[in-house]
Amino acid sequence: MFNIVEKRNWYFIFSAILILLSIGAMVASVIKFGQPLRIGIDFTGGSILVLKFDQTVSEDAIRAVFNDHGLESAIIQPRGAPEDNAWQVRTQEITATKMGSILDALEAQVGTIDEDALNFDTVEPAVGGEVARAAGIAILVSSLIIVMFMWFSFRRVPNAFRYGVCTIAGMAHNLIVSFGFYALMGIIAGWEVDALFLTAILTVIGFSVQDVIVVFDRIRENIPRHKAEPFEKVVNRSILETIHRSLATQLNAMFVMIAIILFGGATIKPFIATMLVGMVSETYSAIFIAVPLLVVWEKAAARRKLAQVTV
Amino acid sequence: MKKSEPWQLVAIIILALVALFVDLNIEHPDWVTNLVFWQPADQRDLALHLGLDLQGGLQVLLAADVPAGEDIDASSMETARRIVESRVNSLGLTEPIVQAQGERRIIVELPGIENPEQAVETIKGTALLEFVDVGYNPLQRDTVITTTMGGPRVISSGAEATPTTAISPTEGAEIAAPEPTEESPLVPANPTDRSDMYSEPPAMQVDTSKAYTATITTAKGNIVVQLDAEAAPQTVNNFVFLAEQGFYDNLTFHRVEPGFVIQGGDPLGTGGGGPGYTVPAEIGLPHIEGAIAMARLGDEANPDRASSGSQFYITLAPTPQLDGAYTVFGQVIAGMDVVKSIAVGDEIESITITTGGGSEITATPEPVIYETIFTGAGIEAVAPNVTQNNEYIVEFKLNPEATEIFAEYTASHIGQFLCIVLDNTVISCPRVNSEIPGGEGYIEGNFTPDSVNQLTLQLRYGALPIPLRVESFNRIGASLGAESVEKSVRAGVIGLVIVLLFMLIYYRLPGALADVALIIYVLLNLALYKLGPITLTLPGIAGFILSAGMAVDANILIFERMKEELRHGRNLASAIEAGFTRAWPSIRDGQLSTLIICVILFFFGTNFGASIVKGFAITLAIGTIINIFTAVFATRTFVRQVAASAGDWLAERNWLLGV
Repeated sequence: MFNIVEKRNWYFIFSAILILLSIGAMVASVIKFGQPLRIGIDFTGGSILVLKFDQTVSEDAIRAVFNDHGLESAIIQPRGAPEDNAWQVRTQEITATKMGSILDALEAQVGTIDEDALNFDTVEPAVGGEVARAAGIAILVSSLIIVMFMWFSFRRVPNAFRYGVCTIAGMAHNLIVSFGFYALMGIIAGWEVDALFLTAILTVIGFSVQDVIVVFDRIRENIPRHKAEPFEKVVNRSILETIHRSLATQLNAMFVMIAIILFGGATIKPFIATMLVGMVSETYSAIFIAVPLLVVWEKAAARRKLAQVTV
Repeated sequence: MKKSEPWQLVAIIILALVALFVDLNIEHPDWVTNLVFWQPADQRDLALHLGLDLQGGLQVLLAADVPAGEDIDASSMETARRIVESRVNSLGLTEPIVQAQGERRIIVELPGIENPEQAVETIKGTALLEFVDVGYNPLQRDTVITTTMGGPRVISSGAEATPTTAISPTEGAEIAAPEPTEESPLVPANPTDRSDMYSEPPAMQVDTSKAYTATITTAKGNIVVQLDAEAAPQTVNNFVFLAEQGFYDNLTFHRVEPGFVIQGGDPLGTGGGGPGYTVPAEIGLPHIEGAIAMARLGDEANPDRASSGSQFYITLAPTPQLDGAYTVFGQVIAGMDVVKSIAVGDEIESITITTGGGSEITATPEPVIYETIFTGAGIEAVAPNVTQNNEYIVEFKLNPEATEIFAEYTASHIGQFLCIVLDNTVISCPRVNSEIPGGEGYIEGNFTPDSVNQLTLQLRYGALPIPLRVESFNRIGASLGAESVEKSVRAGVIGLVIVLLFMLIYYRLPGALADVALIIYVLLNLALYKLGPITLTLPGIAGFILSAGMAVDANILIFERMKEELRHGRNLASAIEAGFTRAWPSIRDGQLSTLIICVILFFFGTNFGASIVKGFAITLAIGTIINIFTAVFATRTFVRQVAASAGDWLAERNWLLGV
């Protein structure tokens, strides 16, 4: 029988590297932007304008208009393919009236704007702050509920608490990797944290238990059946018995997510990509981190018990 | 193995067919759309509702502009919301949303709006309450008008609200002094005193290019007459003049000849009276059924065939023998049944004249500018009340300045209508029945407790009770949304086809059955979105596609278990049952944890202007619940049915089971 659990230290090392890379990406982001993740206007307040011109225009021309309106700190970036002539401008919070005069000035000085493709979003800093607080609460509450849910599901298994803790470890792993990925994309592609990112993170939390629960269920089922086998072997057997299912499910979810990333609209790409990274990490961490951790814990506990007997 | 009941299979097939029917992008018959009784009666349809991010528009988050920590009165906030709602409704958009959000916020969604600046101004701006003179033509509730105070702050949008005039009087609304005084200064109250009260026909006032409609009100109903000012200008002018003076009020139909004519308009009620003059003949129009014409004296005494000053008749049938002899000046366009029911002595309660676009007239109405008598600034106090007859009324008291204007106006405009207009939208159009000198009055109408309270609130708080501030707003271009929909549908179809293929190739026959279940899953979801209706946003669609991709998870769990049991040497039947039974706890736990996350996401989404998150949570949750039905119940039914009818044959072809 192929032994997955035996090689657990390799996975631990691999995950440690992954986590270090993720933290590295966040540190790089702090150095570059002063934040571990680039926080979008949903959380900080501010304005974002997405514009599409009818002809090729220069960034300098756009910048001149924003400078005229006292918005020297505006971040102006091209958006989509160059032939789209689409631009995204992020500024501090501005009013509808001011935006109107800016648009008029752009029309006059830069070029004709496609009104249908115009997107303008303004959030007050106070609202952003509230949203950020609500987001923190949502992440905390969902993690807590999921752990309690695990603990409740396995309440009849000896040491149900350990199952819960190992699940949290896996969940933390997934979150750090997802955050790291987003930090990296923030540096490379300018992705910013918005309400959708949070949705992706909460979904990753929710699905963090999907694979773990299947393996744990199987362990629970296999313990009485294979009483003669050591715990480690029972766990390994359980993983092998369920790995087909984990991979098949994961594959299907990946198919649709990759389809959305490749063919879907630009607005939800970061959202789905984060979810994809989180879910891949989830399947990996369930099999290679959470379950092996349980073995380590059970073994350590068994050794302590043994030691007590000999004394 | 448990036997699968045939009815289960039949039920699943019927359900799938119904869902397919709902999903089809066709014109559904009315009786079908009427079945969705939980949707508001006037908005029942089986269409997909797209969120702002997909159809484009403006989302505005308004907050009470008060210092932090200060308490906000919930009822004032509700009043503010109502006022904003009525302003938004005056923009004439389809399906705008105005919702309270928490204690101090209002969220406004304006689909298809193009000019956010003006929209924001409209929402935020101070409400303007006006008392407007509309003459004899009452306006329907919710009509948007232009007054001397200015036009509606209408903003350019798909459905532009142009000022229009309407012909139907506001139902039952009347204005009256607290203690009604003797009425009618224009014509004597006693009809017989009106006989010969004038000495010559009125000066020409009507505009022959305009359409005039007269509504003759009787106890038996209304008779609506289209007047032909082009064919008989002087006759119509005279008729309009007399009607507006109230000359016809309380006169009778003194002659009824069944199958021929009904005749009325004589102040003496004998057939011998008139206003004191005759009108020159304008003979030309034919006597078809429902023609209205002026009576006259016989040819001997009246060789010029001049019309009577006020007596008119309406034909009950075509009477060509009268053609060329009498002046026909109009035609009944509604209420012919009333005409036919008139008996001798029936009273003409009143005749009102409507100018401009009548119900039958399609000529583009010119924007009418109505005169504002005074504004809401003149109102001192207002309160709802109930009369002895248990009718709801709104009592109001004006300040001294407005009292004077009001008294003057009511004295000189008896019988006319005074519209109460909020933000250029007509609230009600009571009739001035008498002079109101004291500055106190009440508005009555067919109010319900709700509508009387609403009117009181609108009168009392023409201006917002709480200042509002735009806290955040989001404008989404329409083409961006359309592009997103197109791309999402394509992505969804591609993703789904890959999943279907994967299941088929990897799990063979059971995979094919799971594919059928997945297709039913998609049909059921879409049907529910339409029936709900559930507004689809871009994240919502993503949630749906994602849930479809993961919907097969339950099947995979079951089939993997089945294969395992088969490898352990179980027979097909018991392997199938074991597969479903053993996989169930994992399926249940997984679905439950997803639902928990959906609940958290939903609450997170309702907390602030991030409805975008809510859409995802809703579609994912619906998908998860439907999934339990299709992936477990439906698939099990299919598998059992196939195993029961072809079990032996299958047992020898393990490759078909993917083993």
